[in-house]
Amino acid sequence: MVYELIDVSKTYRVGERDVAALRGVSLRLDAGELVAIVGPSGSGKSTLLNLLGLLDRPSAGTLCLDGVDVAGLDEKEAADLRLRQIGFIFQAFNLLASLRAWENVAVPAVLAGRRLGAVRSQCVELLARVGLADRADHFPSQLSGGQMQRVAIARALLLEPQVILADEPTGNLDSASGEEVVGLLRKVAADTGRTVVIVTHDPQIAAVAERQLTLRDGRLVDDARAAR
Amino acid sequence: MRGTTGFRLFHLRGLRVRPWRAVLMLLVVSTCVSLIVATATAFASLGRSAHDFARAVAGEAPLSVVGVSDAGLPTSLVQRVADVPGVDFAVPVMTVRVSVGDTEAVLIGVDASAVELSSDLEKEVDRVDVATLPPNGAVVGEALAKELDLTTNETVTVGTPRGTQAPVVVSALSRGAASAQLNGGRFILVSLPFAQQALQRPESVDTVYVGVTGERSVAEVTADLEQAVGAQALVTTPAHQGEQADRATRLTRDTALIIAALALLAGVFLIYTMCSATVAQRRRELLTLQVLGARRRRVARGFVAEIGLVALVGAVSGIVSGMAVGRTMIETLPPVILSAVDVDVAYRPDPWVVGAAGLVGVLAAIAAAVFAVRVDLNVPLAQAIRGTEDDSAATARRRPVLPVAAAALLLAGAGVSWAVGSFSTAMVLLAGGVIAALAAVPAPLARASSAVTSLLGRTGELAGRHATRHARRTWSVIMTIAVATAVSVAVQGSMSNLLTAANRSVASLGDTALFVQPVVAEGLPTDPVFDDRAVADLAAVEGVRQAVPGQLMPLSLEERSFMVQGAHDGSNTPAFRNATDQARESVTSGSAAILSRKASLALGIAAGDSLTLPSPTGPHAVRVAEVVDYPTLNDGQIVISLANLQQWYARPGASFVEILTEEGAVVTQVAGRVRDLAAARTSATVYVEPGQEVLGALRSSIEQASMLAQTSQWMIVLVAALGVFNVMMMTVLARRRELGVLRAIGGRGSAIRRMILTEAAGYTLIGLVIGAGLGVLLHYSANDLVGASMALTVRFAPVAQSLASALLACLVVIAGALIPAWRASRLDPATVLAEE
Repeated sequence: MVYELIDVSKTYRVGERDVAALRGVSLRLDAGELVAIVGPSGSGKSTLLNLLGLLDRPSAGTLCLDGVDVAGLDEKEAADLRLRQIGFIFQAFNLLASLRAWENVAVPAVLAGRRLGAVRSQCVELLARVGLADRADHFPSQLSGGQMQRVAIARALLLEPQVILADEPTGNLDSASGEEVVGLLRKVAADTGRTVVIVTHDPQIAAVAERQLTLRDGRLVDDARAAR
Repeated sequence: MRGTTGFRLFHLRGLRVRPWRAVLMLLVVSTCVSLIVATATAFASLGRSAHDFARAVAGEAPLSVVGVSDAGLPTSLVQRVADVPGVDFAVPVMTVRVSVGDTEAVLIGVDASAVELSSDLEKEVDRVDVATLPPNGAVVGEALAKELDLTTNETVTVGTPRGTQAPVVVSALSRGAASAQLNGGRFILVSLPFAQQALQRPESVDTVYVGVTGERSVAEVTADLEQAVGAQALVTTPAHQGEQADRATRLTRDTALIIAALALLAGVFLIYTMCSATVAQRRRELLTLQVLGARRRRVARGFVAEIGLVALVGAVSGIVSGMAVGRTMIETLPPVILSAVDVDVAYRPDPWVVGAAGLVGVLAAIAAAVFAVRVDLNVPLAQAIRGTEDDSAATARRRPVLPVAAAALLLAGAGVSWAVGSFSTAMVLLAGGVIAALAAVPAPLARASSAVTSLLGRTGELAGRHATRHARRTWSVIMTIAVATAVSVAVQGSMSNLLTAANRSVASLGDTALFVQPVVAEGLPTDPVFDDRAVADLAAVEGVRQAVPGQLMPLSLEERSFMVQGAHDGSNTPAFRNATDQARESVTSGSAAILSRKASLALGIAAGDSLTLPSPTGPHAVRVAEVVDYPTLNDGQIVISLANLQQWYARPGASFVEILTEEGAVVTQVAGRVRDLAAARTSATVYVEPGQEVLGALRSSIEQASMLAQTSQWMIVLVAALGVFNVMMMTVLARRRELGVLRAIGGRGSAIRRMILTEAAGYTLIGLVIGAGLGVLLHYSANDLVGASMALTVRFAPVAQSLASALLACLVVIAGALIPAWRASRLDPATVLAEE
C-alpha cells in the first residue's frame, strides 16, 4: 500500500464563507496501480491530487504515504518527500525554457544535490526510453507538445519515485500525442511497479486505467476497477 | 537547490534568456552607485589631497603649530616650541602656492632640521642636502620639471601670491616615489631663508612640525605648547588642513549625497517592480521547482542571489563610471570650492567609500528582491499546476510592520516638531511616515490609480482594471514616480529659493563700479599687494569718486577656518553692507565685528556677545554688532575694521580696492586708467573686474554648486521613466492574449496604444499628486539644509518652476510607456491567439 486516506476533508475560505472541496474521502492506493481520478469541474479532483502530492494539507482526516502520516509535515519535510517519492507531470508541461531537454530531465537530480554532468547519460537514456533520443539537446521551444510531455515524464522518472501524479497530462495534446503519453504512463506502471495517478476529464484516457475514482461535489462516489 | 549547479542552471541561464531586464536592473544600480561614488569621492578628494600633502611633508610628526592667519607665525616661536619639555624636534616649514611660468606649483621652504622628519620631504632633503643649496637654488619636482621642460642650472621665475617675482636656479631635479608624493611632483624645494625672502615674510614661517619624545604624552606636550605659543599660533595636527577642507565642503557634499540617496530610494522601488515582474513571469517556473522538491527558502535564496549578482555587476560598472564622473567633477568644481585647499587637487577616491557605495547599491537591490520574493512568491504551490497571472493571492498577507513604522514616523515627526522645534527634521520624518503609510496600503492605492485611469476617456475604463490586478506592482511604480516628483519639486523649489536668497545677500557687490584685485573675479583676494600709496593714487584717477581699500585674510580659530575681512567705510562688500548703518559704524570705529550667520553658528556666539580674535600681536576682543546673511564655503566670515586687521595681523595695505566712480563717468574708460595705474603700483598681476562681473561670478558659483543637485534630480526622473517602461513592458507581455483578443474583435492598434499610455498616465497622475505633497515637505527641509550649507536664511516659497519641473518629469515618465505601447499596438492577433 502506497497511500491511505481516512476520512480526508479539505475546506477553503473564500471571502466570508467556507467552501468544502473534499468531504470525508477514504481510499487506498497500492503499488503498481494505474489510477484515474475523474469527475466534473469543481468535484475536487485537483484538490485530491494536491493532497496526494503534498502540495496542500488536509483540513481533517489522515493521509499516509508509505505508512507514514504526512498530513502534518512542515514545508521542508514535504519538499524532501516530494523530491524522493513523488514524480509530477503537469498539463502545461512546466519545463524550464532555458534548459535543454536532457537538462530538464536532470532538474530533480540537481535539486537532490548531484552534478549535472554526473547524470547526463542517465537523462539521455530516459529520453531514449520515451522515444526522444534524438531530441536531448533541444530546448522546449523546439519541441512539440507531445515531445514536451514525454520530457516531463522522463523528468518524473529520474529519481525513481514511488508515485507519479499526472494532472490532465493530455489536456494540451492532440489525440495521437495523448495516446502516446497515456501508453507511456501505463507502461511505467506495469514495468516499474510504480503507482500512477492521472487526473483527467477525458473518458477515453480514464478507460485505459485499471481503476477509476469518481468524485462529485467533493465526495468519492465511485471506485471502479476494470478487469485486466 | 544545493551548490552552484542549481544556481547556474535555474538562475544564470534565466538571465541569458531574459537579458533586457537584467540589463535594465544593472543600469539602475549602476546609475545610483555612480551618483554616490562621484559625489562622495570628488568632494573627499579635496580633503585627501590636502591631507596627503601634509603627510608627505610631516611624516610621523604628531603635532604641528600653525599661524592663526596666513601671515604665519614668528620665527621667534620656533625656538620656544623646541624648548617645550618632551619636544623631540621642531621643524619650521613654508608651503605656499606659487605660479611658475603658465602653471602653478607649491613652494616648500625648509632648513636642515627637516631631516628630523620621517617623511617624503625628509627623503628629498636628505638626498639633496638642502644646506648646500646656493642661496636661490632649488630642487624641482619631476612632474613640474617635465611640464616646463626644466634642466639643471636653468633659471625659472616664481610668482608669489603677493605679486613679487623671484628667480630660482634649478640645482637638482627630484625623481622617484618620494617626489611624486609631494603635490604629485609639482613642487619647488628651496631653503627656508630664500622662501621667506621671496615671499617677503623674513620673520615668519607657516608651520612648525613637532616630534614628541617618548617621555611625555602627546596630550601633555600639546598642553604645554598651547601655553608656550599663546594666541599667536594654533597647536594642532598635520591633518588640520585636510580636515578644514573636509569641513568647508561637507555640507555641499552632504546635500549632493542626500539627492544621490533619494536616487537610490527611487532605484529600490524600480528594482522592486522589476523583481516583482520577474517573479510574476517566472512564478510558474519557480513554483515548479518547489513542486519537484526544492525548498521554498532555497528557491527564494537562488532568486535573491541572481538579483544580487546582477546588482554586483551594476555596482562595479557604477563604481567605474562614478570614478570617471568624480574625476571630471574635480576638474569642473568652482574655484571658490577648490580654494579650500592650497595644493593641487588630485582625484583620490577612498577605497572604503567606493566599496561602501557599491555595497549599498547591492544591498538595496537585494532588499528589493527579498521583498519581491516575500510578497510575490508567497502563493500556494497548487498554482504551479494551474498557473496564474493574478497576484491578488500574493498580496493578501498583511504586514503589520508597515503601519507600525508609518505611525512611529508620523508620531516622531510630530514629536520632534513640538519638542525640538526642528521643523526640517520633522518634515523628513513626516515624509518617511507618508511613504511607510503608503507602503501599507498597496490595494487602495491601486484602486485609486484604477479610478483615475477610468476617468481618462473611453480606453481608460479598460486600462484601469489592470492596476488592481497587480496591486503591489502598481504601488511600486507609483512610489517610483512619487519619489521622482518629490525630488523634482524639492530640488527645484529649494534651489530657486536658495538662488533668490543668495542673490539678495550679495546684490550690493554690483554697487561697486570696479574691483581691483590680484585674482580673477571668481577668486578670493587675500594677499595685500596694494600699499597705502597705491590706494591714494587710485582715488586720484580721473572719474574715481572713492577708492575703498579692503582685505581678506584666512584665520584659524577654534580649529575652524574663517575669512576675516578688513572693511573700510564706503565698502559695498555684502558681509559689510548687509548690516545696519549702526553696526557698520561700530565696525569702522574698531569696536565691533559683523559675523556671517555661518560664523555665528560655528563659534556659538550671537549679536551682543564678545569675540576674541587670536593674532600675532596677542588676543583682541571685539563685540559682535550684528549677524548677517552672507554665503561662504568655509566656516564663515568675520568683518572687522581694516585698520584693526592691518595692525593686529601686521598686514599693511589692501588685498583689494573697490572703485566707486563719479556720476557720469564712463566705467570702461575709468577701468582702463585704473588698470594702468594699478599695474604700475604693484608687481602683482592686477585684475580690474566690474562689480557686476564679480557679482555674476559669485552667482554662477552658487548656480554651479546647485547644478549637481539638478543633474541628479533628472537622473532620478530617468530612473522613474525606466520603472514605467519596465512595468508597462511587463503589462504588454503578461496581457498578450488579452490584447490579442481585443485586436481580434476589432480593436485598432491606436486604441491599444492609447490604452497602455492611459494606464501609464493613471500611475503618473497618482504619483504626481503624492510626489507633489512629499516634495513640499522635502522642499521645506531642503531649504534648511542648503540654508545651513550656504549660511543664508532661505525662505520657503513654493515656486511655479517646481510644478513645471514636476510636470516635465511626469512627461518623461509617461514617455517611458511609449515603446511598450507601440509594441502592444503591433501585436498580431492571429499569432498571439495561436500561441495560446
